[in-house]
Amino acid sequence: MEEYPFLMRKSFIAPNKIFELEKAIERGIISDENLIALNDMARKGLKGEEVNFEILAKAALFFHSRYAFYLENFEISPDYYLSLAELFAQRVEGDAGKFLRYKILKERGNLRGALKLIDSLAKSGKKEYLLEKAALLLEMGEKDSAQRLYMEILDDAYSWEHFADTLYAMAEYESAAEAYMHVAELNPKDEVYYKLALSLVKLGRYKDAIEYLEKALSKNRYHLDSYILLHRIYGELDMQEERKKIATRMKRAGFDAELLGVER
Amino acid sequence: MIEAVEKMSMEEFVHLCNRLVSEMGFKIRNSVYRENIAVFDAYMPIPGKNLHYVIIFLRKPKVTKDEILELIDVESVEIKWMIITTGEFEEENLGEDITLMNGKDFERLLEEFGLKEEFTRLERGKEAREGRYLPSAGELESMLQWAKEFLNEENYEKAMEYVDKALEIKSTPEVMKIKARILQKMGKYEEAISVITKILEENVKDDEAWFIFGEILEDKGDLDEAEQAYGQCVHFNRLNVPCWINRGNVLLSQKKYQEALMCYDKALALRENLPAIWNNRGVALKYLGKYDEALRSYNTALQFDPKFADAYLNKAYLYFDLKKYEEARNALTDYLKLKEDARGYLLLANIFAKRSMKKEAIEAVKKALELEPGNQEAREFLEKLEGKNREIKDYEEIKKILKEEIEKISVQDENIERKIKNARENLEKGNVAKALKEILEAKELAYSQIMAEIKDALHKNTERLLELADMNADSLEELGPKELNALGLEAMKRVILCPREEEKKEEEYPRGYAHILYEEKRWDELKKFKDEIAENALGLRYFKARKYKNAEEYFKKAFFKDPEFYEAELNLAYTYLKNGEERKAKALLKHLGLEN
Repeated sequence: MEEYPFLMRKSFIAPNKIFELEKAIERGIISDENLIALNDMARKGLKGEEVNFEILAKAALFFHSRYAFYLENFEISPDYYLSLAELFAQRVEGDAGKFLRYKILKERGNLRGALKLIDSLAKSGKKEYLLEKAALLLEMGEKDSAQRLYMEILDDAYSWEHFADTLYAMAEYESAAEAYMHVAELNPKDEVYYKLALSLVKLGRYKDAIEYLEKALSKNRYHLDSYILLHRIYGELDMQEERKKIATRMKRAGFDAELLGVER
Repeated sequence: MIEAVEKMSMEEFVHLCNRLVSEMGFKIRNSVYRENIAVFDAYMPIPGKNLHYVIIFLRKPKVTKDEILELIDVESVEIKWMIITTGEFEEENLGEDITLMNGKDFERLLEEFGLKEEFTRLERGKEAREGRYLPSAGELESMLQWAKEFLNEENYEKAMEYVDKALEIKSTPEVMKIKARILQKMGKYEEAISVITKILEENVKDDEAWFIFGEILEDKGDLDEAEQAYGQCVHFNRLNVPCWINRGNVLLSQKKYQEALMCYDKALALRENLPAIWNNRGVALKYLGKYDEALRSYNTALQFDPKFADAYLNKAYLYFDLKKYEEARNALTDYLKLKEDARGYLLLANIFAKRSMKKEAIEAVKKALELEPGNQEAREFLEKLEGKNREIKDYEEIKKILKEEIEKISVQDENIERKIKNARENLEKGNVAKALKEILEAKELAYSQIMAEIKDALHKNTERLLELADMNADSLEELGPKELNALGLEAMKRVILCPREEEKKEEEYPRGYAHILYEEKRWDELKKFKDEIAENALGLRYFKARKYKNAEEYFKKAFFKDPEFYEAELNLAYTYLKNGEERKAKALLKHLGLEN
């Protein structure tokens, strides 16, 4: 166990050394080389040596969110990566350490503990923490408190998108769609249009979804998810000619049209 | 006198008869002789008409009526017969058209036409030599006359005999010239030259000697020297027409057309009535490109002698060169009426060939070969004509075959379609070679595509069978069709004989177990799993083994199963790069936000 604290010996990606370690964790693209570095660093950290615990904690949190299924192969707690993150986060001082611990508590389901921590951080007035607090309140069902807080902080596209994402995660698709529409007005991005379309699809509003997916593609012809979703929608609507057109457009953009053969 | 005639050799007798017939005013067309009989086919030109005569000389004491009837053709009309004998006739009257003359008549004729001297010369010469009398000029002249006549009759041995006798009497330039001519005709050129140079050493201005010298050199093949000799001849005597003609002919042979033309013009200025020279002049003019003048020259030749066949042939050649095939054929028809020879038929064949009348051309060449079986030009032309026919037939057959081949090619892509289109167009234009090239390339393309498909299908099939049979499917690309087939059969046996229990196990294992198998290189076990983690793990395995096509297949499978599994998408992008498909890779990397 000590030899591979992250348990994984080989990464899920083929190309090696794409990003610097911190950026790799941030982008979620961890190569074999990054993995060796993380295991090595974690091994040293666990032995009491001084290493970059913040990176390790972030990495453990990423592993928990992305590769938690991997733990099922070991006779080990499903919260192993969270425990690992906790160990590393404790060695991180200041707000950064606190914010990491907030995230860990939230992941563990200890929402009250998490609220306590984010509340103390939000007193600094930093929007990132305020948005986290508002979102947590919403998830905890404290809608009034959340609403009051949102009323104070929803003043730009970033905050609105954070709000919309929270609603979508809570399966509040209608509200999420409205929020995304507002975001799109403030900052018309391909990804915003796509998320708006996703919400509309959840609501069964295919034609509206098509309109926003087209907008997403007009912003970025490489938005593969939009092509796939459009293809799926036209399938649902039994519009075979339109499906063919999607394949042609994808080819024109340079994509392999076979990628439309996704199963879900 | 008649006794002397009877003692003569046959050649001397024929020669005497020949002289007599000529002196009597007949024109001899032909003559034949056998033992003691000489026959002359001749005619007597009288104004407005030619009387046809056959004159027969006999050396017999008595001639019977039957013998006469055997010699003549009584059925023939418009022929008069004159039979002259040294003896007597059994019957003196055989009709109006048969004149009989006995020995006395013969002697009278010889005397009357001044030939009595002829057969007494030998005797008198002998007497003179034996009696040591001085030789008379008449005897020398007689020897020379005999020599000349035997020379004309191409009896060179006899001619030489008389000229040597003449030389024994006196060596004069005239005798030596006759000797030179006899030697020339006998092909003894060096001896002839030696004789003629002796004459010229004595008198360099002897134009006749120069003329003979020119002819000897011409016969010998020394055309440059012959032309120079003729040049000397006309230099010393500008009125020597035969020399101008010969010089012109030599110059024509040397392709010195302008100079030849000048010589012919000199000859014709001196004597106009020379159809052969008008004809030769026409040839020189033709080669000088003066076609109209050449034609006029040939026509002038024909005005002087309408039966001058060569002028018609030359006219035909001229028209042929001018591509006036109808006129050429007309001229040639006139020629062939007068003279049927290989040259004429060969030209006729060429005219037919030019007018695409191959059948007629072949017939004409065959006719030329009948007349002259050794004619190489005709032989080659016939081969060409018949060969060309075969070639045309072959060509049409090839075109038909190629059209059928085009229909057989299965069109699988744009390249093949383009090649087939080009092949069709080329075939229409008659560019058979280009069409064939396109067809072969199209077939090659179609064949390689079919082969690639078969190979790919065989690989995939074998691979699936191996997977089902839980067998190692490594390095399949290195195997040939036979090995793949054998491996596939082995896998099939295992699949049929061994019950498969493992499939159920997949669900029993936790998600991500495939990645552990990948980490531990447990490939056979890994292949049993079908989730996105397993597909990605297999893709990683092939990627690291540099089998990018296989890697692409598995990464795609992973992506299909979960498009949010962005690791597989990234892996696919890198696999595209390795496969040289940069555009596809770029699109995915842009989607992943890894490329601007």
